[in-house]
Amino acid sequence: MSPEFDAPGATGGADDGRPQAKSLIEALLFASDAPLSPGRIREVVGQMEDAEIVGAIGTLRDEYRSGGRAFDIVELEGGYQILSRPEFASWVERLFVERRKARLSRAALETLSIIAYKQPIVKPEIEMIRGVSSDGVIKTLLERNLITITGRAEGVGRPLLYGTTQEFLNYFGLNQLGDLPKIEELRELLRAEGSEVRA
Amino acid sequence: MKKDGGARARAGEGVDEMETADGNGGPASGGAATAVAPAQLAARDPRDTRPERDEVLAGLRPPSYTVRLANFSGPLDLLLYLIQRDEIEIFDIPIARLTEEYLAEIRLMELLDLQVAGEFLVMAATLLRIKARMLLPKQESDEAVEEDDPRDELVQRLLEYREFKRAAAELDAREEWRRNLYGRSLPPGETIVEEELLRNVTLFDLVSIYRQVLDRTPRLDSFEVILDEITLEDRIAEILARLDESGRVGFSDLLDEEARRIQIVITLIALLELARLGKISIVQSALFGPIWLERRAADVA
Repeated sequence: MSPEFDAPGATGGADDGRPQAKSLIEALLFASDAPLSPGRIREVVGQMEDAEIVGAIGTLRDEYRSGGRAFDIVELEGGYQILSRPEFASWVERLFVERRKARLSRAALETLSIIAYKQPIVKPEIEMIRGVSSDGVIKTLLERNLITITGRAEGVGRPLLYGTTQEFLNYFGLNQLGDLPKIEELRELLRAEGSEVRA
Repeated sequence: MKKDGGARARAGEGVDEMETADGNGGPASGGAATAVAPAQLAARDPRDTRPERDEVLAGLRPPSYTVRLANFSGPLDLLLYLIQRDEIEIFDIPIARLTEEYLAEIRLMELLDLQVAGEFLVMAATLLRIKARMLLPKQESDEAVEEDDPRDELVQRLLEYREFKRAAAELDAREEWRRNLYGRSLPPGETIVEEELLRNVTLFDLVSIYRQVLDRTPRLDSFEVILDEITLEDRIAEILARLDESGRVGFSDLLDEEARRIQIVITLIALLELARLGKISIVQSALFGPIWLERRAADVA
């Protein structure tokens, strides 16, 4: 950026010509096509504490929300990304018709949830839980980069182990795997939903 | 995410496959499935369940195969549906009634995929076996052996499956929410390769590219046999020379310049050998993106 475009006050610039942390981070988030972690932001801007980065992002988010902006800052894959708000989806969707992917089938979601909770896991165990063969689903999930082969299990035939990917986190809007409800919480949900589970 | 045309086509196929049913049994395996199912039932069922067994088989014999399985992702899903529909207490399943309902449901289904149908039959056999065991007179010391309930294993499977089904519903809701949030995107084809973005390539990726190159290579109707045109050692030396010269070489560039299949094979083996020896790194910046070969920093000079 050339100094002559740094109109004083335009971005609330500090005395040394360096813009405010908040504005600087906003520019990065605005321009990025992927979530930015505090570490990545620090790599770019230098000399900034994680707490300062997280604080600035929090301030920005509050401003967007109270200012009625059409976008928000979402926590994904351990980072932050500016995304349009869901209420505008039906319009934005028309802009990117070709980019809209098919939703996952129930079989695929079931398989993914088993992998997400029990990873690393081998195919026979997935099939044991589901009660059906899962070759096709696993192949599709691999191709969509939602799962990956993480290694081989010990034992006969050394079967492949599967686990979820970064893309899995992004696809489901998760910051980390721990954001998924715990198994105990799922049981609680099932109970609350009127299923007849008695401990 | 950036994908090439081939990748998109494959992903599309996958989606189609998922939306019908999983499993890889096609119509062609029909004979096998009908042959296998009776054997499984006969092997697992005590004599006293014979009438039901014959009923199942009668109901499932072509052309009256009518399994409506697209609605259920598997036999456990169907059982849970029945349990919920009939407000059955999962810890005290009236097994005779549930078995009846299950068999009735199977008879109603339209057969779409024989392998999955086979799995539905296995469950039918399991239900019949449990039912038979329930009918057996209890041992004298009955009160003490309560954990010996023949339904236990099935109940545990249903409970576990139901948890993951609930987790899947959670993922479904998250998917719906996430897909309505849009971020900025780089124009297609302008993925910036940065060192930080590079991730390790799996053998899976290599084999996939290898197959693509083989597919692009025209097959010859007549063959000319040329022996020992290039040896593995020569090729390894060549590749190392290329890397020393230009620092980084595209994996498919290296394969593309070789016209003959045997040379492509030798190139691949040479690369795998170099990777094994730790002389080169194989990196990829994005899913389905180009794969790059680099001289290992520690190995240079």
